[in-house]
Amino acid sequence: MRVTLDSQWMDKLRRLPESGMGYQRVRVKLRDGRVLDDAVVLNAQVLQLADDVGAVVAQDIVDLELEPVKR
Amino acid sequence: MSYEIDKTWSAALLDQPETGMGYQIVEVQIPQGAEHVVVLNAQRAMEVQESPRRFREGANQARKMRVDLALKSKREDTPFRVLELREAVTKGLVETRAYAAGKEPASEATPVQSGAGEEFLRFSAFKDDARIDHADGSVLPGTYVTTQTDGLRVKTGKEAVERYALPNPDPAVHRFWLKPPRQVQVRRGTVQPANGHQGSGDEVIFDNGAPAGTKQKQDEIPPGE
Repeated sequence: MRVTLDSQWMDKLRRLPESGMGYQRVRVKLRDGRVLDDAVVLNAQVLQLADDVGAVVAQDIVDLELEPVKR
Repeated sequence: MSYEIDKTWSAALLDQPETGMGYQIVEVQIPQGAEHVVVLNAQRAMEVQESPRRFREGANQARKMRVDLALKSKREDTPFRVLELREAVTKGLVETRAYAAGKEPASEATPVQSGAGEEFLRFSAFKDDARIDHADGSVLPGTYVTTQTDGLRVKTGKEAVERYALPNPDPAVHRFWLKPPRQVQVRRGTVQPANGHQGSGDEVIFDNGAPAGTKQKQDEIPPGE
C-alpha cells in the first residue's frame, strides 16, 4: 500500500539525508498510537507500507523521523 | 559479541566454501527446524544481537539459543550446510554490511572531495526526482548517486533496482546526469544487499549536496523485464 504524504512531511524529508538512492527509511507515528518502524518513503513523497498494516491515509500520520543507520 | 564454535564445527566448515569473504552463512538443522547463523573465519559465530534486524525479527529466540548451544558443542551428526550468497539474499538473511566484508557502504566511509570534473548518475522511478532542484540543477545534501562508470553499466530500470538495491520495485527508468561545477564532499562505498536485491553497485553520498548547475540532463532507459 502506498500513501502520498502531506507537504509538511515532504518538506521535512527533503531536509533530511537519504538512506539509499531515492528512498529514506523512516519511523512513522500514527494518530491511533501505532508506530511503524522501518517504513520506506520513496522520492520524499510516497510512503510504502506492508499490506498487513491496514488502511492508512495521509491524515493518520502525526510524525515521521529517519531510522538510524543500521550497523 | 560473538562466540567461539566447537573445533569440530570449525573443521567441518573449513571443508566448505565461503559465502563471502571471510564468512559463511550456515543453515543448521535442529529438531525444531532449520536455523541460520553467521560464522566468521570458520571460528566465531555472531550472536543474535549482532545479526541484522531482519535476521533477528524473523527468528525465534529460543531456537536461536539452541543453535548457539549446538555450535558450542561437538558437531557429531548435526546436519548443516553453507549457503551461497545468492541463496542467503533470497532467504532475506543478508541485508547489512556484516555480510559484505571489505565492501563497506558509503555511509561508513570517510568523506573526501569528488574529482575535478567528475560525473555521476542517479536513477529513479520518479521523473520529478525530489532531491534535485530541476530549475537550477542543484542537489540536496545527503543524496545518493552512483559513479558514471558504474551507472553506465545499467541498461534497464530493473537492473538499476537490483544493482542499487532499491526498495521500490518499479523500474528506475529515469536517469539523471550530474556533474558538480566544483568539487564537493562525498563518501564512496558499495551498495549492500537489501530489499531482496544483491546491490554491489557503487554508491556515493553528496554529503552537503551539490551546487546549481550540477544536473546536466535527464533521460530515460528501458524498464527491462
